[in-house]
Amino acid sequence: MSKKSYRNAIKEAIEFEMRRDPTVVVIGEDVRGGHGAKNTEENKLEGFGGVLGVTKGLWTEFGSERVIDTPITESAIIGMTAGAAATGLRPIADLMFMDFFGVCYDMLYNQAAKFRYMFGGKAKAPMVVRGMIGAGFSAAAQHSQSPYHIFTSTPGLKVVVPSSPYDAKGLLTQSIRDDDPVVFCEHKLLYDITGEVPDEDYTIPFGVANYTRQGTDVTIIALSLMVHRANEVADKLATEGISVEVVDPRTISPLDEEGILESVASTGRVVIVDESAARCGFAHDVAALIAQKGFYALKAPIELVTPPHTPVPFSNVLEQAWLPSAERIEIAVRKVLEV
Amino acid sequence: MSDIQTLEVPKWGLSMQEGKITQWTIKEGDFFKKGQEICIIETTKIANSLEAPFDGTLRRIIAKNGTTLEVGGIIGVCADKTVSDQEIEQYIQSLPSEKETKAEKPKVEPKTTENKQTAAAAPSSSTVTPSKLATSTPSKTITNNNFSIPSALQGYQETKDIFATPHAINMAQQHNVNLDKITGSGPQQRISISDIQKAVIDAGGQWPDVKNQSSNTPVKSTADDSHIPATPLARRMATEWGINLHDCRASGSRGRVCKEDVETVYYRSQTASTSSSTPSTTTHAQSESTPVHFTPIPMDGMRKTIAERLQAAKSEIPHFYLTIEVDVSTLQELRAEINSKLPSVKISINDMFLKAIASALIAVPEVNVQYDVENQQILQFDQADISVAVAIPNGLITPIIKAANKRALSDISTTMRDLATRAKTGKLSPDEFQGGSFCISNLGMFGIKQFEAIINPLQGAILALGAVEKRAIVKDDAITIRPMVTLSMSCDHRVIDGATGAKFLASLKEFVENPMAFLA
Repeated sequence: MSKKSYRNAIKEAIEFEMRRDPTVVVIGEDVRGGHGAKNTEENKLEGFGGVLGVTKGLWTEFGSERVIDTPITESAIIGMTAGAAATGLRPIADLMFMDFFGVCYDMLYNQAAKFRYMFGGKAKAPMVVRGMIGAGFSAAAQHSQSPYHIFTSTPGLKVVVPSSPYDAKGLLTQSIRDDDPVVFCEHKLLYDITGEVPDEDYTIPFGVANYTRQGTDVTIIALSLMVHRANEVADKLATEGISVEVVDPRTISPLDEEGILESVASTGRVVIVDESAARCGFAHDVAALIAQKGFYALKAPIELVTPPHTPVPFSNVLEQAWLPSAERIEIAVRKVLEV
Repeated sequence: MSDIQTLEVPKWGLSMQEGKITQWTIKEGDFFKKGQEICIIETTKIANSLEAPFDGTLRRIIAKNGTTLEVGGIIGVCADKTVSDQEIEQYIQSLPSEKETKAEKPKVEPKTTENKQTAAAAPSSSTVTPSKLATSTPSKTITNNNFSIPSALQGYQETKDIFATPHAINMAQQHNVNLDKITGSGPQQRISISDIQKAVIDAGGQWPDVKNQSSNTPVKSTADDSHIPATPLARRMATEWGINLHDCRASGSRGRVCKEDVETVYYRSQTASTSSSTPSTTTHAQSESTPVHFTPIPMDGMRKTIAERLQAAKSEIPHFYLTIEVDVSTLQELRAEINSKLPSVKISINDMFLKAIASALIAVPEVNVQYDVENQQILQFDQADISVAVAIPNGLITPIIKAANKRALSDISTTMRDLATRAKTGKLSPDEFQGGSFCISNLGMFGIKQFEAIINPLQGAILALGAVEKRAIVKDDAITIRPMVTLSMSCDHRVIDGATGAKFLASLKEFVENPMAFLA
């Protein structure tokens, strides 16, 4: 096993699946060319590889038929992807900033998500929509949101939010092989983190939470970048003798209810950290689950750490204050422990 | 063969039978030095830290937090890092389990070969050869608390091939369940705790619903809550109802626990206990009329000890009682004078009584005794070690003011306050509450005029102090009003006779009414 970045882990998953299965194609803006590169079959100049360079090199290996550049029209990208999936391909769409799902939402939530159900199982949409989420990049209000909770609320869509390079590769491979539409959310601040990733291909099943820290006093449930912040807090508090368990559900639809409730049953105290929304977000969904099925194990009220209910600020200082910080998580943990 | 050593539950005091491991302060793999605190063990009286009896490396914790073992029970295995995990594992398997040791121990003759072998594993004996120890393999069903695992499902094995949740793995390890024999119902057949529960119950065993185990009984903390901010009323109510402030939400100003918070916990516990009481506890006649509500309160270790010891004391010791009234006016005046002139000290009437009693015990040493039943002799002490009964939330404990006759009043006062504080937080060391040649119990602060206390076994007598109250007494043929206290002494007639006891009380009255005598 060697250390790889989150970006390379994602790319490896796509490469492996494209080599393994000829029906896997990549669709998106600049996945082939871009950045002023006029690459053609005769003039093989590698292009931008998507807005963050994840798909760089794919066109050289797999050609124009399987690495398809589109205009900057999200509705065209997702519409084309859903149609291709319905006709037998396994497309991977690069939506780029997940914030722009609005213009193509009809194709995703009202079409692709319902194909299998409305056609009585005779049609399916084995597609993956990759997109960037997350603040902390000074990308301002329209490029910094984490709207995965909106996808979670749509039946028929699977939603994956990986926090580590290992999870990213295993879960993306699983997503590509899955017969349902999967929304794959990549956090901007995680592309350059590195971690142990096997060279061979492997899958991680959906709906299986990962305990990134095991502890006995309090459970922190977090996703994506927030897992790292929670781990940081857990490690800090461990030096004080406070034992924190960190649960990363990894996929929020399906959600590993058993994995979450077992941890809650063992600690009795819960902090949920989420970047998605201050209202009706992932944190509230999980809090409701615990209140419904794990209530009697609770020794203290559940504590939520989310951003305020405002757009993401552009100012770096304000943006950092907006994001749930390790300090805020620590305060919440101490709060549930003191009750 | 490298050395493997064990850590065991020590024997702190004569009455200690078992100890509960409440917290390990070192982890598996940690190196420790002799004398270093390694874990905290709770006895029926106190929680004390266990100091390492030797230098070593803790390789395996046998008794996890919350486990109760008999004195001498093995709590951990230590060995140098050169010893392989396999050797440690073999060694542990060769140890007789706690249940087996208990079961195999005959009631009349406790010293069997088995026990001698266990004793050989004492830390002081340093090296133990595993092969010398009795080997036992689990048979039939393992029962632990409410868990019983059928033999078909026994045998935990650590393997990478098993797909289970981390908590399911921990539970399986804890209760020795073979996960290989269980099919999970989760994603890709992942095994959860519920799957283990179902498999165990299906196979005829028992596995309580661990996820909802606290559903009927509200969680009760036992930790020291003296530092939790609370309003004085809330604190008093919590003490009265036996509620730990850790269990209350702090909704008051500045994060304090207030009256309503304590009430909430109280009514919640009432509701839970009422709803959990089974119909079998109510007779048929009662169930037809108004239902009788009661709260079953489980007896903890301390309560059981109090029950056993005092039952024995009252049935075995022939008590007789002597009562005397003393005038405390001079004592009060002297106390007021000392406290006003020396702002650094705050002497209580109780402290002055302690000093007076100590002086009387020296004057009448026949009362300053213990009864050594085993050797049929009376132990008469030349210093006054006075036990003082202190009420604590779940019972009472008797810390000792040692050599009270030799101490200054201010010293007695400070020591008493320190002992009482530590008694209430469970921080007394065994030698601070075991022994003593005489005991006093004071219920005056509750307005009790007079009462007779039960003798603390081994000691010869106990003195019960009532409240100071103004009474009309006859002095020099005139009726006068004086602050009076009634003292009742319970004596063990086997070692103290009526006249001896009376002599002691007369001497005590003299000291109390003329306190200059004991200050001199």
